[in-house]
Amino acid sequence: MELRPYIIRRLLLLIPVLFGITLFIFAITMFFSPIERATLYVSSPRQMADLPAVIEQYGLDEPFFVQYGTWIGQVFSGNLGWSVVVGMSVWDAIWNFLPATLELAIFATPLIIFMGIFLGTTAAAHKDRPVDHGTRVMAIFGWSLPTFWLGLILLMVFYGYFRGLLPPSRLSIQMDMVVHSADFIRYTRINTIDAILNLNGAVLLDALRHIILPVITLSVTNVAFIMRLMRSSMLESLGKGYILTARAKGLAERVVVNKHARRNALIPVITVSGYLFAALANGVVITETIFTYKGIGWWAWQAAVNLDIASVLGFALFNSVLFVLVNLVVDILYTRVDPRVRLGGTVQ
Amino acid sequence: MNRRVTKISWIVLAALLCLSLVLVPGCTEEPVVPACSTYIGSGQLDGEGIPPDFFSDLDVRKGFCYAFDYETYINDGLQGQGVQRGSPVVEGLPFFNLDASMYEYDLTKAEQHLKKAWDGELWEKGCKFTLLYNSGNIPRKVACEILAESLLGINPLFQINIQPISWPTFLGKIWGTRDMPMFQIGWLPDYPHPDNFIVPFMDSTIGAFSAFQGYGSAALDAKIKAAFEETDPVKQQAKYYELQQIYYDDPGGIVLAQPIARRYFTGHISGFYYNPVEPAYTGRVYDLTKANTGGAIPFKNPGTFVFQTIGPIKTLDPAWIYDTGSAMQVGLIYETLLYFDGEKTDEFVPLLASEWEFNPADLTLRFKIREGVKFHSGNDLTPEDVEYSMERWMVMDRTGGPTWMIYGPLLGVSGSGDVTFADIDGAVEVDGDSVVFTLAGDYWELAFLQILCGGWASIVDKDFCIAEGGWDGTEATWMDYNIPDDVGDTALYNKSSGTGPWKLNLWEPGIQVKVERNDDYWGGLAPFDYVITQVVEEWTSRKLALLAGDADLVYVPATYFDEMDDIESETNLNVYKDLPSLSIDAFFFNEIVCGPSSEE
Repeated sequence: MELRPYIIRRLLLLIPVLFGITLFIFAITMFFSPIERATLYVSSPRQMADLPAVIEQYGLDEPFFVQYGTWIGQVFSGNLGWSVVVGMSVWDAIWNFLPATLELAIFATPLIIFMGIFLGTTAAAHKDRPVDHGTRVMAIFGWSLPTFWLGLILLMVFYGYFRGLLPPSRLSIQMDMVVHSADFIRYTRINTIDAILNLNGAVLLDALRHIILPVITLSVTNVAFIMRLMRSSMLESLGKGYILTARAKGLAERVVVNKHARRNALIPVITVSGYLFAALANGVVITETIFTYKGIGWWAWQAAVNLDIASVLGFALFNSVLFVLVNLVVDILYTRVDPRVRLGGTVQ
Repeated sequence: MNRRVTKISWIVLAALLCLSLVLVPGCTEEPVVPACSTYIGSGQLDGEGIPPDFFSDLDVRKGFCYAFDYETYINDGLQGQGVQRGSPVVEGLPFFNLDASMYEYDLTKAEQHLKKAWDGELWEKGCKFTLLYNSGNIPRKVACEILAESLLGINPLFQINIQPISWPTFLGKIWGTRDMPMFQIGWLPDYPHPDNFIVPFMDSTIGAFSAFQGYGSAALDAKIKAAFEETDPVKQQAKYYELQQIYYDDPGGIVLAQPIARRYFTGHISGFYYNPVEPAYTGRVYDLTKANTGGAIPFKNPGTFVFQTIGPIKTLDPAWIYDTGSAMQVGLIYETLLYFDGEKTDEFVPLLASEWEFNPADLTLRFKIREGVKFHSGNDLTPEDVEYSMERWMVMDRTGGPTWMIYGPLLGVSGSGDVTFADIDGAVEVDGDSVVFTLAGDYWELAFLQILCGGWASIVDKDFCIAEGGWDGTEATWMDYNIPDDVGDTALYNKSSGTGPWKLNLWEPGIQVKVERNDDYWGGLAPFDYVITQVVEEWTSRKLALLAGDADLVYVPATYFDEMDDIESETNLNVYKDLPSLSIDAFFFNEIVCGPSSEE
């Protein structure tokens, strides 16, 4: 079917998805009594005596559908609510904290994909030999490492032992002042991209220096995800008839593997990479917290822990939109990569 | 494929909707349980639970107080960083009694009292209930375990379960559902007066804890009031000593320990002195200096003070603040009329007021306002700004905020609901070069001076505030600015014009606050060009930053003092130990579980 109607149809599906998800989450948060939800707005024992006033002020004891209706009404008028944990509107909070997570995702995703493809190909090409076992063990070992443990170890070695070589946080104090100064225009608030757009080498180097450790942490723990898929996909591809033909033709093994087998094996990996990006852009709470790289994952965690329901719902909306869009892009990409697949049709 | 996918997604969504419709009616009704609280078992004294008024029996409470191993609690729960106290009045407060009676860990006496309790029925039948603590809090977990173990050791029929729950749920249970038989929570001072500690622990109507425990009586309330209103220091001391003794004779909770704090600065920072009521963890930054003293920690960022802590800032509006994080930033940008003298909590030095005088005859407190002071906006400081700041504070009266602290001393009420604008206007008046407050009673003098040192009493720039959309100071509009809905609704939420040594440079919520030096500061240039407060939740990141010289001071929870002790000798840190923090934790008894009417 045509591309444009397909995209429109898929985007229209977004609406019932958003409705269903927010309704579900809202319903679950109703398990907390109005009193528990009111504690979001107070922070000292003294203030606690005013809980009934707080409950009334924010309408926390209204029936479920009234509260949900109020919230939906606000959303349609463009007001996603106020995020108490960061003191700004939910809409502003999403735009404020997304760049940091996107920066991590932009750097980590290609690294994970290329490493995964390389390791997967190598493992498949040398199946059951030491190289294969070695790469698989390494990948699973990385996958099993707790993120917080790996992150802290990296910090202790590269920041502690090596006296500040690779620091946490997004920028050093000096570069942070440069970025916030009037001369520096923050187009995207993703520091590396902004540094390039502002032609500022010092900021770019500083941002890269700060992003190394979090990206390594994310890569090591996630590479197995791609690597194993690539390996099994390659094995399937290597078993096909045309590979036998290529070898019979006398092609070098390297050409057989890299040019013929791998290209076909890449198809499932490409589509899965989309989900990988979405999962990273979703927010990686632990990495963000340990390396003080505050992004949308950190914000969602703070919201959840403090029962900031407006923020939780806003985050759920953001997530739904993200995944539906990524799904859509991946499906379209799939048709581009594999000519046998038609949009909305079946594989021939 | 397309149609099938659509159909499936519709079915899934319909299922979700049905599910939520089923869940929701179930959650808006109260679940039916045999006893009013799930934490008191059967709700009867039959060995399978406790009755809701279990702790109303004095012998039960005394027995529990004797059964608690205070030393182990301090050693294991607080890493030795605490001192046991016998009553809410802790060291550092006026009228603190070092010789006050305290319970000691005595199993024989505990047994005696528990055998007498409920006419012997408790000893015979036993009891069963649940202790809760907020998850992640090690000292409170340790306290629950110590108590449970002790009681089990005295009588195997005393079965106590322990359960962690999340902090918001925990708070909701203390003041909302009130269904916990015992709970641990601490008190931090609003102002360093014993009354500020005694009321929450002992007052039966307005006590933040006692009123919800069913503790106290009208007679006791009268004693508390009398002690506060006493003007003869000798008699006042006697009254406060008596109140402390009452808490021993009739305990509302097991008084735990006054924590001992420490500060870990890098060796390059000096000048810190500890005032227990100072909200900023850093102390007065204006009095610190940073110079390269060599040593293992590198000297970085000269002229900048970097502080890493947990907990984001809520607002920069002085009339709203009630948390230490925001109070610290307000303390850098704004100033008050006077401030505590060094480490003292009952003596003051002039700040924006050059002198003050209290006239007991007409209960007026007169402050002469300093001349030649400018706000960051360039406007001059005048007595009108002081009057405006105080009236704005009263007008705002945000829910759960600090405004009760000015209403009490000036008008004898607790909020804006009980007054007219004429009352607010008349409480603070300008008289020439001075501002005059009329107090509700002469006993308020010391407490009110202490309250005026707090960040909520900061002097704001009237013209600046009005230009930014704030209240214009007149009766006509005051109701529009009364009880704002959201913290972001106030004019001074993230904009400021104060008189302080620094002015706001950057506030990235949840990430950092940066203030830059005010070159026109009346009191002499600040020692730092920038003061940066970064929010770093992860302890190891903070510790590494301190050792790398990227932070000059970091927040060190007591749990990690041992870890810091191990490395202290290898590196040049400036450590301040044995600082008695002005707070107290107690293990409170709830004498009326589920509230006064528990037959529902």
